[in-house]
Amino acid sequence: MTLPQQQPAQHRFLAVLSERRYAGYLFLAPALIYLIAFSVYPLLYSVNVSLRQFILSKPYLGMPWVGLDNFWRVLSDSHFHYSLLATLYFTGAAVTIELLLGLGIALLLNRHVLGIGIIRTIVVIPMMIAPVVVGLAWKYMLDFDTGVINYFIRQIGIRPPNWLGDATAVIPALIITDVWEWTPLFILLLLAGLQAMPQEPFEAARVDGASSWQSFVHLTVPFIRPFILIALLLRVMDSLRTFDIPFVMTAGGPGRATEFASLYAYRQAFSYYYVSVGIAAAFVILIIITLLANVLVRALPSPETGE
Amino acid sequence: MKQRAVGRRALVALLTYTAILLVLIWVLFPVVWVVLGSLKARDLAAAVPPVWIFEPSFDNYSAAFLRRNFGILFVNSLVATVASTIVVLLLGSMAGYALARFKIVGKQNILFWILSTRMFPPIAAVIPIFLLFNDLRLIDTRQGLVLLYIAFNLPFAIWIMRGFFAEIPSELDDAAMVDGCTPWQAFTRVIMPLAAPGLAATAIFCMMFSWNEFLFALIISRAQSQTLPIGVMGFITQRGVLWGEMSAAATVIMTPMIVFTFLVQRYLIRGLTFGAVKG
Repeated sequence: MTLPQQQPAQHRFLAVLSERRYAGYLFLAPALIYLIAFSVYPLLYSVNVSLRQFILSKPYLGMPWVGLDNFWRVLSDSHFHYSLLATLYFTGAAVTIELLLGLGIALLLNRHVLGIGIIRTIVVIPMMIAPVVVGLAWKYMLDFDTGVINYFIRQIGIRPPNWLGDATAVIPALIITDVWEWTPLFILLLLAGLQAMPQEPFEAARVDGASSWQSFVHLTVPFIRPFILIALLLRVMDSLRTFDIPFVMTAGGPGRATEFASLYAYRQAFSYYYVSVGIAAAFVILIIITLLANVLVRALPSPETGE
Repeated sequence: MKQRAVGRRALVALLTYTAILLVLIWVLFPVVWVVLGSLKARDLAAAVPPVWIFEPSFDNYSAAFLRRNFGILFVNSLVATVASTIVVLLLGSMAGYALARFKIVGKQNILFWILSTRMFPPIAAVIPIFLLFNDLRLIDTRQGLVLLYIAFNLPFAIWIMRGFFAEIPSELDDAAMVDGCTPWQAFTRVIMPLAAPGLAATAIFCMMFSWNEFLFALIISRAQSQTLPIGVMGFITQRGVLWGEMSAAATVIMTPMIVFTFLVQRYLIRGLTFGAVKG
């Protein structure tokens, strides 16, 4: 398509838009430029600051170059070691329980249940609620003196734990909360997997005399494996950087018992104003998340062929 | 023999529905407990033993909204949510259309790069953004929140809209362009109306993410641009938690999201997996 030279600029622009060759790039450009601005800038800035000393409360010190000092400082800080271990313990335990419970409930709901549509939607509600609200709701219910959960525990004659005040009970309390909010993701995805499963192999297996446990292990699990992996990928990545729920329920306490990795980085930057140390800690978290995500992604079929 | 089989089937059904009932109680109890707490008078919200039957009162709501300015926080949340969603839908559907339909060099790499921006832990992004916003005087402004939530939701919108566009046969836009439409006209007049249900679902998910967002709002808001999730923390005071008012605020935050859940139920799986799984 050629246009006369004297066309005003606006028309020339529209003419370019109308050429299919370029149109794709023009449609893509605004979003891509926006994302580059909001991700490349923070990334470059973070890399730069992580290699300098920057204390927000002491701007007069400037930003002297310190090389990898911040990383050594984080990696040799016993509080950071504890916070990584606590994060891994929290993530491992919560995600395992969510997977098993989610699989159980998905199998339950897959049994030709009446009203499955409405039940499935109700079950998803916890993950739609703001994590802050979920944290506060469970803080309300887990309160040592007035909480409704300890009321029930006392009713059956057991001495209840001081969920959020006792260093040994507090991580289980956060796991209980996380399991409530995120088991629905496993239910939803695994149920979708189960319902997409063809029936014929199961009938054939039954004819061949396979037990229901055998068909579960050899037919059901392999079929829903990609669904399990996607749910695990989403949850592990999210759970390793968990912030909102511990922030509102315990603020990292009692002591530093629930100072998970994100909370550690946040406190370094915004409570102690050691911004560069906080960023270094965040990079360590990023590296761990990336490594774990890669392991899980490798196990997945590629999205283009898997559909 | 036959009678025993019928009896067994009835027993299995009974156990199944009992188990489902237990699951529903587990899922709904915390929500119901917070709503009940919000309707209890001040001295009943944390009473021991817990009160189950009481005369409902709206004192907690009026306390939260009148004495604690929750109305302003509500407006802040609403503006940040709606304004960012509108921009995200426009930019996200354009980019999603480009990636679904046109030949673009390095398309797969672009798609995975877009996804990877969401893998970046927010805590790592939030520190430089705080310093940048400080320089640009965007701290404690609604504009700052809107700009952040656009960046936050754009990768999601691009991926999910690309999936919806890919389901519309490309013969339709080809035909429109043969008839003399420009790509832009084919997009706005032919494709967008067909993608309307997907667009609506995407909008609802973006609104959910922004409405519930906590960390960015915590870092960049002080007094003027606080959103509801930040404000609700204000009920944790030195002298203890104001459970009744907190529950009222929590109810206000979660009610629209529960309504949304029912509106997007068809697209839940797709929305929650970035379009990786089509439910």
